[in-house]
Amino acid sequence: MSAPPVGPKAVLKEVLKTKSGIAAFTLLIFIISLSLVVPIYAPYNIVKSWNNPEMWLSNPRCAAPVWIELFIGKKLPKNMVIESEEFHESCFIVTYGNFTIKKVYLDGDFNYKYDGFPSEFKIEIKANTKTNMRVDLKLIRPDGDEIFIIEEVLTANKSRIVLGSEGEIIHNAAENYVAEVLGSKPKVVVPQAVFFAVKDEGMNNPKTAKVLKGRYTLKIEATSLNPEDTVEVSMHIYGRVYGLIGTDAMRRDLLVGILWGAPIALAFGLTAAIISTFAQAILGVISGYLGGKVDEIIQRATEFMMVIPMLPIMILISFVYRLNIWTLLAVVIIFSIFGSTVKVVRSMVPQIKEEHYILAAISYGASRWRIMFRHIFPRVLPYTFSILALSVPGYIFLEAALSFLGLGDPVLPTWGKILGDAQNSGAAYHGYWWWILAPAMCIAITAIAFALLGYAFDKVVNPRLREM
Amino acid sequence: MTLLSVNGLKLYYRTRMGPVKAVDDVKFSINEGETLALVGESGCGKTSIAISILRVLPRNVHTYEGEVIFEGEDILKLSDEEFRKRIRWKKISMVFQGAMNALNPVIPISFQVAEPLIIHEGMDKEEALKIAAESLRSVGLHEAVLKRYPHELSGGMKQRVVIAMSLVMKPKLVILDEPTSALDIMTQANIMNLLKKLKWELKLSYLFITHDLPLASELADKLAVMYAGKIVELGTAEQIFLEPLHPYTDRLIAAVPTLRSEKELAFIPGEVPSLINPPSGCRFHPRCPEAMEICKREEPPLTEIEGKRKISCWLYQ
Repeated sequence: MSAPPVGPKAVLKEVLKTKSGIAAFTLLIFIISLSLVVPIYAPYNIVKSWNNPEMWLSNPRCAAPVWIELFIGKKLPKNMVIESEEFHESCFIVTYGNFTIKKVYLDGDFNYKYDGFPSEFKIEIKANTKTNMRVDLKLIRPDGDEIFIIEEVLTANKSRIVLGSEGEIIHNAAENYVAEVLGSKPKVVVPQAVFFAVKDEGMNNPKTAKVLKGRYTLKIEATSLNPEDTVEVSMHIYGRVYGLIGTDAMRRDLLVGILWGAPIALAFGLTAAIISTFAQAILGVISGYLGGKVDEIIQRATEFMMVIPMLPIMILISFVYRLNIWTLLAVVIIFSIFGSTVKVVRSMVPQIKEEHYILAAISYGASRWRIMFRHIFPRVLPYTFSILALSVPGYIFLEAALSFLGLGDPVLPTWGKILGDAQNSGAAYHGYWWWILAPAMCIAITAIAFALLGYAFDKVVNPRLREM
Repeated sequence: MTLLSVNGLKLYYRTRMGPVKAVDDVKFSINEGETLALVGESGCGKTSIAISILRVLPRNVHTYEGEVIFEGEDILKLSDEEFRKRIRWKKISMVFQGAMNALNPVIPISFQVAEPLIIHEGMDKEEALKIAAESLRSVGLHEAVLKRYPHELSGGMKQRVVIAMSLVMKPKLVILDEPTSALDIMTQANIMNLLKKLKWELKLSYLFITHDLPLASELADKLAVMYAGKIVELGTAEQIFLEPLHPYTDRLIAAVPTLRSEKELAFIPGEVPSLINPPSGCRFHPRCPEAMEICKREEPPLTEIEGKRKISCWLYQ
């Protein structure tokens, strides 16, 4: 049996020789690179507005990841925006004596070439008028049909209308169109399907309707008595796929949340693990070396704290005080100061204490603290590495559990919080698998990485596990 | 001139079965530049004498009394703090048993050798390391050893490091507790020569603790034979080796193997007595071939006989 390596460099070298060490470092590098991408992809000002729905209005709701297309072999709709600048504008001003009539025609073309219907769409009309302006809006489909949408008078007070696919106006337009084509009013109508469907029996049911691909035109005809009046239109077609990880029910880009989760989880888990493990190791050394009353107090306190269930207490504290991530971290650390490592280290110290070099140190006049921290602590340190690595997932799970229950940080997205949101929106029921899978995988990968690292350290520094 | 004189030193350990009389009323002295070898079987209290002089006592001390006069001052009367500051390593240092265990495996050699200087003299690291390097050179080690960890050194090198550690503060008295017991015969010879050389160069006094009589004869000016917590015979090396008087000393010397001889090694029947309940009278009497009636009843005093040697046996009273 070879002697355990001495010094951090030698230990690291040995760890990198084991299979689990290599796997652990690969996974850790992955997680760390996630954290490094954060400032590029999602700077703090984006993440600050994680809970602000206004920020995310332009994203589709509950969109799957883009790469899903590779598996189902269809082109799923992505977000399409036809901005007001893209509309072709023609303008006529006619004067009859005292009357001046201004007519504005706006034509917006877009090519719909996907194999699925959009998840929703939204048309926004903004009139810049001092009196009033009549607006006619219709959609011309590739098969030549016209769908009449709205005829409305906009005034100075009511200069802007937003027509969403969920709204009544669009709904009626779709219903009328189906009635016109099929001869009878349908019971239910899904406008985002009807507008983009091939004319047939099944067109009012998104499951049976076929997509009509081709060039669509949104036509606006605006009439006003004031030649200075103008009108602007834009159309937003929401896709069914978005980004690498998709979006959630609040239209948030999950990639932002997942990326931000990495540094938060790492910082939380590592800080809590490092501080609590070292504190516990130091207490173990003190307890084992000084013995007597100090030992008694530390050991009983440790037993007391080990018996207390942490999660319910943390739930209680977070519920009462609404902690943010850093105060949560502080509370977790305070509750972990007396833990199992105190016991482990305490059991190693009596043996080390009897070694001759400790006697030598006493005899050349080293103080008790010097002996504890210079001579005994470095001896138990390698063993605490594996404990440290193995305790990181525990703290990440704790934070995730609290966030899942809605008791985590109120601002920052964490993996647990994303999972909690998924749970609250019934993601599993609706089949939004990406919303559950991405954070769950991240938590699992991080936990596995640290567990493997812990085993690798254990193998290297624990002489009983060292191979011959 | 007397450097250290020990009078009536007692060290009893507390155990569940009663006090263990590891050192019981021991008296000896060491002159400046002199080497006293303390020989005896394992468990007879040799190391206990060493730790009671240097006051590195375990927790379970029952009795610790007597006089330890060093340079005319009873150092047993000093407070712990004063003793730590003034005596330990500055005046009296120790080479611990088993060099393999006397070095902390996770601290580089440099800091272990330099640590006494940092603690006592409040030196900064660089200065202390310079002196540590000097000290290592004086025991015949290369400076490169400074950066090594103990497991990278051989047994002999480790022993040299431990000796360098004990000399780093230039003490007057060095207690050598079985300094060569874990080493092979060649390395042992090397270390012994080194110890001799250092003794001359630095005018050191040694208290040399060993169970190995030939080795004791190498280094010792005076010899003290210990049995069951007591000194039974004290004299110059020549006197004791050439003419052992005490029956125990006699048997001890007879038990030493000699090269290329056919003789059967003599041994002492029986075993080392329990120090919790030592035999009445002379502690050696149950194993002594020449035991008399008085030996069972009364303890023989350590008396001086001709030639300035001392013996504790009724045969010579």
